[in-house]
Amino acid sequence: MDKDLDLYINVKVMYNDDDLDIEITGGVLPSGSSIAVRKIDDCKKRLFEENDLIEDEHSYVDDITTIKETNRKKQKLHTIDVLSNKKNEFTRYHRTIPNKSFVVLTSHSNERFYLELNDDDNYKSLAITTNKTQSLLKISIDELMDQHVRKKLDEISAEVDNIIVGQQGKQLETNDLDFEEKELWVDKFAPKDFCELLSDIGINRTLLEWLKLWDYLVFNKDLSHFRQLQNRQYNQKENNNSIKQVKKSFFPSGVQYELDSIKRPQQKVALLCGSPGSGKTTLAQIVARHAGYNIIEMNASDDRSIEAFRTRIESSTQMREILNKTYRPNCLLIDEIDGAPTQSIQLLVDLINREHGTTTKNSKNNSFMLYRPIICICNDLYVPALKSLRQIALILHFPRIDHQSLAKRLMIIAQQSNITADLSAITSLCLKSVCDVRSCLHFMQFVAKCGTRIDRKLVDSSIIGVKDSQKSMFEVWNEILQAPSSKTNQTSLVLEDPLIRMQKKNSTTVTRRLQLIEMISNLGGGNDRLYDGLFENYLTINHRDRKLSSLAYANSWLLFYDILNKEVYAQQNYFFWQFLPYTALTFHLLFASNQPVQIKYPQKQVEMNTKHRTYLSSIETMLEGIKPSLRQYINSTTLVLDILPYMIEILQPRLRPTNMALFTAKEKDDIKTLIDVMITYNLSYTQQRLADGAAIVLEPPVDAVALFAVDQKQRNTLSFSCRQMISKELTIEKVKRHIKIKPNSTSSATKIVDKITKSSTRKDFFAKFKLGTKESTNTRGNVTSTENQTGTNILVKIIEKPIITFQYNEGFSDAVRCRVKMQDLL
Amino acid sequence: MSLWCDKYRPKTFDELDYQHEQAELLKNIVSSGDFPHFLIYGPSGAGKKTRITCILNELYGPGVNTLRLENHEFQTPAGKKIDITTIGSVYHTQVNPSDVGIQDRLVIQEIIKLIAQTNQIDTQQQRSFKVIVLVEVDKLTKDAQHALRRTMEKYVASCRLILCCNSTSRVIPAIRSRCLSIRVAAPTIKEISIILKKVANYESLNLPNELANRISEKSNRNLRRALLMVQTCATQKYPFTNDQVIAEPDWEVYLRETARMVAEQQTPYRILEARERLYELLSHCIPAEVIFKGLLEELLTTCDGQLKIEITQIAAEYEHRLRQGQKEIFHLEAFIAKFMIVYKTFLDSAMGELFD
Repeated sequence: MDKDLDLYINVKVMYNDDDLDIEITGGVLPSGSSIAVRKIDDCKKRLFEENDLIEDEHSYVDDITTIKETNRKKQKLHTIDVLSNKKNEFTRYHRTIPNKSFVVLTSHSNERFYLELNDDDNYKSLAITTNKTQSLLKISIDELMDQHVRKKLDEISAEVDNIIVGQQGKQLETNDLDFEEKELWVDKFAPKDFCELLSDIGINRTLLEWLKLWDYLVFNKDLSHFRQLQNRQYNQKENNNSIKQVKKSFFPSGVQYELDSIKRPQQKVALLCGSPGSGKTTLAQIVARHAGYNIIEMNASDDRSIEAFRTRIESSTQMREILNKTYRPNCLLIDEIDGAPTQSIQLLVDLINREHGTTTKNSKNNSFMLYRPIICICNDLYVPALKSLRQIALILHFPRIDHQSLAKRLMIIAQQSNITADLSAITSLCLKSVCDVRSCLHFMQFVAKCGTRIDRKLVDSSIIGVKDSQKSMFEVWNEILQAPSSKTNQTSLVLEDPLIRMQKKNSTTVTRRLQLIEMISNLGGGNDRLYDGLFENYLTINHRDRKLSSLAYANSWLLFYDILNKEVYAQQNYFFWQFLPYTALTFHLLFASNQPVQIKYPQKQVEMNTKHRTYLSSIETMLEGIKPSLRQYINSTTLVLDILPYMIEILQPRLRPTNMALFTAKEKDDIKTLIDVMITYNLSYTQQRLADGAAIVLEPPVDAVALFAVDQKQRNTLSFSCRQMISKELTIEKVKRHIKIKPNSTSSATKIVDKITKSSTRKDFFAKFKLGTKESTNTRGNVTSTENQTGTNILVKIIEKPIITFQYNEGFSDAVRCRVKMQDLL
Repeated sequence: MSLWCDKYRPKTFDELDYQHEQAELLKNIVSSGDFPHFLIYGPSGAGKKTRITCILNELYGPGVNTLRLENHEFQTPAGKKIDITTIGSVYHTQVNPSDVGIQDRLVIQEIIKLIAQTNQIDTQQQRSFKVIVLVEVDKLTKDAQHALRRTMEKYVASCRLILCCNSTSRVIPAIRSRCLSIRVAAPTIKEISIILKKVANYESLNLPNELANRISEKSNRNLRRALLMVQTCATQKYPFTNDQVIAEPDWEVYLRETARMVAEQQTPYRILEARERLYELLSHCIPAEVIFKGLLEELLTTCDGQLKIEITQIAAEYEHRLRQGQKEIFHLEAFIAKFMIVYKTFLDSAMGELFD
């Protein structure tokens, strides 16, 4: 291509002092040729003057559009490179396409102009100069310039875009804002690398080590280092080296160094838990970055339905970012997982647990395998939904950040941001916020906005940073049942309340205490549990008054609470809710003592309820089976109070341990009634395997309901053999009745008959023959087959007639051959 | 039938053993063809349900004795499904709405509508109405009782209600006024002894008079229990002797021991022990009212005079609160604590007098 004839058109934009310069460089220009600039300046001026398009030349926003416009121009100019091959006379702008070569210009109102190109000597000379310079540099200067300009242009347009998007307005002031000030201090002073982390070093290292275990799978790195570690872990048990001991204590849950079949660590998920503001998310991000991962964060703001969860997990652990040039594998960071629905967490667990062998080729969903580490973060580890995850994850408990190191860090920050602060103020701030880094920093930033001093008074009097955090139930109970010690405990985190500090001297007065308790019992949430706990514990406290009148008083308050509570729940009348904490107040007044109180978690009530439910269900099963003609007279209360206690006695007559044939008439009678009762009341004996051998028990186990641990009573219980015998008699009797009354369910009947036939197979085969019964056995086991086919009716008859028995010895038959017709069997 | 109390249960008015006048009265009302709603009340084991069967038998003949179970399923407005089993013949249906707990209002409304909406086709030969027997009406919630009172009037043409309960004090007056209340008093001790002798005769056993009397006294005038006692005695030891041990239900013994413990010593620790036992009783499905009653009866034996009145009053008060509340154990324990205090003050003052 001939360089002389080629027209290179470029647009150069320079942004200086609110003024905009647009350069259209033609051809190859030497360093910032002034001629060219002037020319373009002319162009611009004329463009603006003649068409009067831009009302406010100084408006920044307009300028921006112009820049954008120029951007567009630039592109267009490039496209018309070919068009402008001829040497043209530069005259003026046209609204229509000129005959000569032209440049298309578009104004911000989308009007299009055509700039005729003239061939003046500048252009020529430029072309010549370029040729001269070409040899000096590897890359021609114009290309360099070009690059430079482009870069600059990109920068400007990017900045401009930002502002347009962000502001959408014409406020010039925003431009002057210091960008750094807009950043929260939490972000500004967040630790940038591993060494700056405030959290416990042991935790940090554990997480990092766990993440490094993925290296083999993710980065194909050698893990021999970990082999050593692994060995060391074993050795540690024997070694009593002090340093190692310290280190060992840093591994609370223990990373398992073994890898599974596809070289993943045993624990595929790390679960960080700790109170808010202790730096969990920061740690996870820094560690992941440190280990060379690209972090994909997922938190409560994202959709966490099962489908969304699945796509998110799969995409982030299997795909990679392509836009970023430096490839980093992903590491999924699931923040605030304790708020996720149970199903989603279950899905996560399922995905994690999926083993290589179980994947099936066909189903698309099952092809997923986890190849990337997942870090989960939660505040409350013991959320029920997390139960399954807890079992498979590496759990890292975040202890509270040491308030001294936090204070040190805060001091540094204060210095950096020109705030005067003394250590005691900062320390008390740390304590007040319960070492929540986030809230400390927010507080400091807030202070920095208002003034430049942080002192003790300011910290104490402000209510910022005080969290109405949920106290554990035990703390609440303790608070109620224990009087505050006379020495005000300054570091007591439980009672951190701005008001306390103000009235520190008064904090032991009764009024103050009561206010406190009221607040606490309101805080605790779950009134039921609060009072269950109080109820279970209040009697164990040392009581001073001999007359026990405080007990009655407390009880009357408990009843008051109970009645209100029922009202609230039964009528949804939440008005009464406000009165509930006062019972706790009464308890505090009556029972608070200076001695330490041992509080047990209320379990009795729950135990009682479960027991009650099992008993109730056995009673219900029993009731269900009772015939309607009887049942109409009985309800569960009469059954429990009147019938069962006596029935149990009737069911256990005094029987001698002999053969049934030797029983006296009375014994036989007893057994007859017994079986009768058992059948009418739907009871039976079943064999149960217990720890100390088998036992035959009542089914449903109503005897447990009726019997109490009464000492004096001597009980008559049936022996094992007796029960066995009764059980057998019972089944026989049942079948007989079943047939007489109604053949209802065939399956149960056949089962019973099966049993009977089984029990009778032992009898002598030929004895039956001697009795002269017509039946004989078929050589092939037809009896059982008829059983299956014909159902109960036939079976019944079999039972009523002498039972057919047969024995089939494989290979030969010693049975007597004779014709047997079906009707003989029936 | 196996248990004597079931085996020898009368089916018609003529077979009844006591309260013949009342039986005659009922018979007359029923035989007149139409009758109002009944509210039959009386203590447990007095024969309320027996009388209901008699009424039904008189009304419809032996057809009422072929019974079947029916399962009904309802859905609450909140979408919860509740199941209830009813016992009934073609002529009548027996429902225990308290089976479903606090959802009984729905059952009352739905079941009665369901049954009452279908009229009898052949009114010439049959009665023009069906009978719905509602048992344990005193356990109905207030809501359900209010729901009942309108329904009762609305469907009076096609159905009659027979309500059955232990005490009318928990039935709202509106319902009481809509029914003909019939009290089935517990049989006297003498009547029980006679019946016991009769039953023993049927079973061809020789029941001595003295034992029969002892049993009927011990049975608390509860005929069902008396019969069960006899039968238990018969299984335990026959031929009968006069000084034979009469079995007591375990829960009664247990409850009595608990009461004795409370009267024995008055300390917080004792309350804790008693609480354990109360939990045990409650978990064995013993209703809290029964526990209250048992405790009171036993505790009263240790008190005298003025104290008896006081304690009874306290018990009544706490039992009333129990109705209003939810957690039975709170109320039972509160009663025990209160008793301890009153009793202790009494003892202390008595001791004081002794030393003065």
